[in-house]
Amino acid sequence: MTKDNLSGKVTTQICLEIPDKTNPFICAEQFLAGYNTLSLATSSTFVDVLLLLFNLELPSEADRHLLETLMIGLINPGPRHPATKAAMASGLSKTNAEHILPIAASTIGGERGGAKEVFYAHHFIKNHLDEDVQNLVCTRLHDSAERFAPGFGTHYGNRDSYIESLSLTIQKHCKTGKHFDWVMALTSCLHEQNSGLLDVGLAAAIFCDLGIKDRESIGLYQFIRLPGMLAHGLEQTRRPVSDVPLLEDENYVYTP
Amino acid sequence: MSTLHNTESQTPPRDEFESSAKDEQWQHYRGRIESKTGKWIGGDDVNIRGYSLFNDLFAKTSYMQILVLNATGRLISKELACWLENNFMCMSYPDSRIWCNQVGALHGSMRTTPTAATASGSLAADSRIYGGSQTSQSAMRYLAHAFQRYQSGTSIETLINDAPVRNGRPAIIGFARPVFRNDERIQPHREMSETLGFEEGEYMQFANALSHYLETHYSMGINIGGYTAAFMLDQGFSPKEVYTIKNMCVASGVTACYTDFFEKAEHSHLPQYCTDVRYTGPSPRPVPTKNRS
Repeated sequence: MTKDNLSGKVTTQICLEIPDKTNPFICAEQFLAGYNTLSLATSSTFVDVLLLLFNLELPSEADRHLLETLMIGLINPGPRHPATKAAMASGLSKTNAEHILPIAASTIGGERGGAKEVFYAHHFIKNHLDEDVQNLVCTRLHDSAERFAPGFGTHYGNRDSYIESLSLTIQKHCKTGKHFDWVMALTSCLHEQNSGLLDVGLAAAIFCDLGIKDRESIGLYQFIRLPGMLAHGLEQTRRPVSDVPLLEDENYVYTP
Repeated sequence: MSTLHNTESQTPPRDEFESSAKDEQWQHYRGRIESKTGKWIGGDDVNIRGYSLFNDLFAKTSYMQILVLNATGRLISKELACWLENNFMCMSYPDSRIWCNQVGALHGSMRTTPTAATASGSLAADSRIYGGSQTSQSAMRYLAHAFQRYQSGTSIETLINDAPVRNGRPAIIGFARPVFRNDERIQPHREMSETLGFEEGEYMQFANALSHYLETHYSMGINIGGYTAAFMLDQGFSPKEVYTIKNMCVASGVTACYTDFFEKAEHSHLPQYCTDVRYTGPSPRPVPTKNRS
């Protein structure tokens, strides 16, 4: 086999690199889904290009605004979120700074309230979109973890007030699609049971409206949530480890 | 800069919150951890699943026995721990062509820490097609379900025919292998099992029967995932337990490939020309200048 006939080439629809005339390893010009990256840099927003990477087309102004609103609303899960806590515990204990982002991303990848649940919520919404929400609420029960379905349920036993406010803000200020509208109708029915929309369900609904596929939803959710977690984790690297001592023995109950 | 907001002095006492009483379980765990797994008794001892580390386990058990104890709560025999340790050896080949090891080598090439390399490579092997951890879980689930049907009277032929077909062959996790058909690890595992005194249990006999049928009709047979699945089912482990036990089983090979490329020149792991990547996306086009609607 010659070096020009390698055993299989990586294939991509996303990125074209034009080689430098003197060195084929060096990229002289880059195109993202056909658009020159430097032209995008001077004429598009970050969110435009983010959606371009996943959908291979630049979004409409309304879609860009929708995703950007969601991204800001979800930019920081807050210092009490398990994934942020993982980042903060790492930062406080002087973990290498470059590990904080992957630690947070990995933690929020879980199937219970994390990115994997976005995947399941994406499927749930797509699969039930044609169903009557009242009928669905009457025929389906909450599980033992208080989930009505992936992306829907209770948060610490109640409706998630912040996500409820964010979803209403999106409804008021953005042009949404049929998935989000159906989710809001379902959420409204769930309120009678003191249950509602969760962060992962909201993200899944909007990803569906934006044409983001199921697996892509996982990574995009992790990405959207990361900035706040990263900032919290890095902030803790500058705090003394004595800020948060290990839990005292009397509050650690061990019963083998 | 705006005035800083300190919540500490402004948080109302617990009983001033309106509560639906649904939050009681979280109230219970606020500032409190309950564990059945273990406890560090600073300056004295560590308890693992009811065993004293320094009185019962240290220098008396192998690391693999502790690994399984931590993962499952079961203190397994030295023989079974030896079997698993040998099995792990066969899951971590130091060859940087293998996907998880590519990750290790690329980490070495970028001079990350060894921990980042090994953790990332292990994450890469958390895959539905290879890696020995998630695949063991899938293979055990398939075998357990198929064996139940077999015991209820379903024939091997029907079980095989019911499997999904890919490229004209039954696609059964644990049988056949992504790259090569013959798995060089099976025979050494059979010999090891015998040497350590393990008899073939009902799941292994069933897996052998499936493998024999597949060899006869499709020139494909059991791979290490299927073999491990059958063996561990016979040892009474659940699929989830084996996933948990084996979650880092590729780690050593990843670390090896990391060290291989750490000292080499930058970009030395399979550098590519721009044209070595096949681009199939939209042709170069101008960025629209008008507002998109």
